[in-house]
Amino acid sequence: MKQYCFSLLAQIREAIQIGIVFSLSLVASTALSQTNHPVSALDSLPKHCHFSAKFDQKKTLKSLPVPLKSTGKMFFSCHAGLIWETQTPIQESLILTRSEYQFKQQAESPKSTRLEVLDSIESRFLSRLLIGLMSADKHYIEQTFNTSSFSTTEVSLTPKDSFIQKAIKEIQITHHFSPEKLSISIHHTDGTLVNIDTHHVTVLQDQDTHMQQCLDTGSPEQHCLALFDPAKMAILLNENSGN
Amino acid sequence: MLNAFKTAFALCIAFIIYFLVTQVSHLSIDTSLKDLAPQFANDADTRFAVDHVSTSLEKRFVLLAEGKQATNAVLTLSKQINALDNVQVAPDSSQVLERVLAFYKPYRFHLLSEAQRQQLQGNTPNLQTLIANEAHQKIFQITASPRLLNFDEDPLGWQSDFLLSRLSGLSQSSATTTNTLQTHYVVFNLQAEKPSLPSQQSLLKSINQVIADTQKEFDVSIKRSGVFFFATEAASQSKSEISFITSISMVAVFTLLVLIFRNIGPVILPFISIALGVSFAMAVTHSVFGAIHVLTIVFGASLIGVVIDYSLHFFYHKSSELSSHKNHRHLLNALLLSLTTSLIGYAALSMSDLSALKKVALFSCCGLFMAWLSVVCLGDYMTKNMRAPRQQLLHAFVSTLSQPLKAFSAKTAAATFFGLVLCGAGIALLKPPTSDDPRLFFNASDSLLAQEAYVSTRISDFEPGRYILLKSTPDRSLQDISNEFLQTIDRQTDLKPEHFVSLLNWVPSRSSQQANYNLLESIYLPNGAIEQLLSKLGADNAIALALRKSYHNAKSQSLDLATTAKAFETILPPLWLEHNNQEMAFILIRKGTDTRQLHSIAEQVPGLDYMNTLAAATSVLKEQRQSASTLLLLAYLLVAGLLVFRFKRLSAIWMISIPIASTSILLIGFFLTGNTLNLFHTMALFLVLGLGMDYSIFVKEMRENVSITHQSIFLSAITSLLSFGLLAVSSIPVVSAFGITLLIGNLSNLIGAFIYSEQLSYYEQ
Repeated sequence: MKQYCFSLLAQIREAIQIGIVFSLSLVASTALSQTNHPVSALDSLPKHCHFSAKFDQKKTLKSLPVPLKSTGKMFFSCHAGLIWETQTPIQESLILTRSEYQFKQQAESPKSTRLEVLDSIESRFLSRLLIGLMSADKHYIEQTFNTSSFSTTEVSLTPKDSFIQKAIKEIQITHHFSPEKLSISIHHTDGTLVNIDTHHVTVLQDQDTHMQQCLDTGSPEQHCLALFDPAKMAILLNENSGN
Repeated sequence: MLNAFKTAFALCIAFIIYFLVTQVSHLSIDTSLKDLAPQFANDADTRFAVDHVSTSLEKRFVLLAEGKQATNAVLTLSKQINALDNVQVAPDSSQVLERVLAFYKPYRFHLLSEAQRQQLQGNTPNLQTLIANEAHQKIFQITASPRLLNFDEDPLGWQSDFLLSRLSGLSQSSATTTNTLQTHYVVFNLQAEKPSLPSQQSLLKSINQVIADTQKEFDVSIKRSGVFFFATEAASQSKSEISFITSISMVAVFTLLVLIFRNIGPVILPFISIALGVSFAMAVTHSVFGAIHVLTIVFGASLIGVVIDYSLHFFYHKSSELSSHKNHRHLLNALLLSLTTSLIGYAALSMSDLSALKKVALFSCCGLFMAWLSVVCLGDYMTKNMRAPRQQLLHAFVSTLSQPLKAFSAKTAAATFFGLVLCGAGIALLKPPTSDDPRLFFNASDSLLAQEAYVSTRISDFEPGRYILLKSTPDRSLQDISNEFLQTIDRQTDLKPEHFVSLLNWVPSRSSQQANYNLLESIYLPNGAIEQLLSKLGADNAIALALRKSYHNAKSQSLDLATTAKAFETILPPLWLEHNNQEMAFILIRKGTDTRQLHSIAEQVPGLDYMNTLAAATSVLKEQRQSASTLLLLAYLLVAGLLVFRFKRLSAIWMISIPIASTSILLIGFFLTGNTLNLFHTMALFLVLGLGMDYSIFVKEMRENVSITHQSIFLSAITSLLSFGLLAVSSIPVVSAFGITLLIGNLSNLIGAFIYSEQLSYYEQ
């Protein structure tokens, strides 16, 4: 017996998570804007293959007058994926890869001693989406959003997909050149507003030793291993959980 | 006696006129596939529940789009199909979520997941602080579950987690998007209760057009799933076959009769008898069942061959130059006996549990009876001043055909007969290969089947056609039965509770709800988890005060299955229902679950039924086939008894040797060609009996005029073969099986009748 309706309900969960992921992906994408003479904010997104950055995030919930502030850092490799590490006030790391495996590690939790595999359809979907945006894939962004630029430093993205529209109303990106700064405001359909500021963007040279690049940014070895060899890490975690 | 028949004839005519005047505008042709499926549940309540759910599911269909613009394609599909009559797009995810949230919000202080309950019941030191810290951590996590309720309604996110756990417990699949490919689907509900075939076809045509346009516009692939598509295709196929079989049959029979009788006059009576027979059959069947199934009409078309026999025999003998008063009496006797044996054959079909076959039985018996009355009551008027038929032509033809059969001496005939019977009986005892798969009923196109399977793999998480039915008893509620079932599952190594999903997952028992409410009190108390969380976030404590008030106001709230089912009725199939003061609920089984143990588990837990519809239907069809075989033997015994009673001689039993030999030939033929026997082969054997008896009765009753009798039997056999034989070319497997059996069986009957006639003449001389 088919439960079409319940399947539809599950889409909601996905849609809401998309909203969260957009807040990450667009930070990274716009953080890559290095040029001083963009045709538009969207065109200004460079296509660097490896970079690291720091971020400040402020989330405002509709019925909570106090903003929720967090900070962290990230590492992106166009070949492998992304490590997103929230450092304050909580510690949480996400390793989103181009493979079918995604990972999470939470500190201050009984399960913090090792990585967990995120095996939901949603996490795979979100990872594909995030990496697509991190790669500054203009084709992908234009396929997913309607874009409108108010000036060469401001762009507004509205999802084309009605499914994504259920979670995200609009994303505004403002690009400041001097000093280099990107502000992203994500207006969720449920009234939640997420503001993200990026800074300390460091473009890394494309080298043979991507693993070393990852380690050089301060990411734990386990995270870098998971990013560059996700299948092996998944097997390893599976064996450990069996034991 | 004739006056009684005339009175009955007048009453039947009056009934037909009444039906035509009052009901013809409401004539309903039933195309439900459910009608073709056997009733696999013995008790009425289970049948009611299964019918209720399947009726609801039959009204749903899904369109799944894949491509770069699948989402927009689905939006267009939804909008355009929604604008059509009798179809409505099902609530979309946001509408469903809004309804679910609005419904659950008043009850949220009575709901806890198992993990939350265990945490509150535990003896963890500083439990409230721990809960507040966890909630604080979660509110910042980017992978935290989305919040379905506002922060001020559910600061810890617990109620949101409860609802999400239920949602994700029901389905893991959903629409997906990759960088290049989107997959989205939309569910529609049909609004009409019993749509007519033309309206179904019209709707399908419109949907096909919308799909084609959308595929072209958005460059997507759209696949479909739903009973509606299969039913409409089956109905359309049946209808076109009815037109084909009826048209060819009518033209062929008409041409044959005009050729034989040399003018159009004698053709009138057969067609009047057919028209009246079929009209009366339709009127009675429609009045009794409220609709006529397409399968009834397909089989009804085959009636033409039998109905026409009466008028043919009547005409041929009446118009004979040797016709006399004595002959007329014999003719009426033969007709009456022929009707009686045919009715026995057709009526046996009504003993099937298949609703469609019962309708065929009623349709056939009524049609036969009315056609017979027409011939008997109108025959004399129609044969006045009639020209003699082309007996020379037919005589020469029949003589040539029957000439080789004259070589059959009595001994050879007897040896052949017993040889055939022995072989046939031997094959029957050896249990020839059989097929009882209910999918034989349908002849769905490969494309539809492939689309159905594909859509099922993409959007359905549950085993199709397998589920567990819970039935409450006066001393055991559904929750009690469900709990016992889940405890039993827990003890199994290969099964887990999460393999099973039902509405009961959404509604804890009344006592559990009360316990949850009491457990939750601690988090709303001063310095409880909520106040501590607000303090950590630096938020105003007014939220905690408002929540505490809401918590106390909700004390008397209690969620029950009836209210939940009512609230979800436009969203879900009826997974809970009440019938005759008994509550029933369906448990769905996840795909991949090892179902082998479920049957024995269901036997251990009172009030629980494991339903495997395909296996059950196959089993019931097997029982029906075996039962029909037994009924066939009974029918032979009844006919034999009737013959002995009628002729007052034991040797009259030889008359049934014709259909017995034909049946044996069929069994041998099927065995040698490797054909598997199904219920419909067996059902057709009843008609082989009826037709074979017709021939032997006329051979016996009209033996004073052997040549004329042979000719009339030959003529009637040819007309029967023209209609029954055409059924063999049907693309519907069961109709084809029916036709092939009758084609071979009736040919054998014809040959047997000639041999029997020779032997009868020999002994009487």
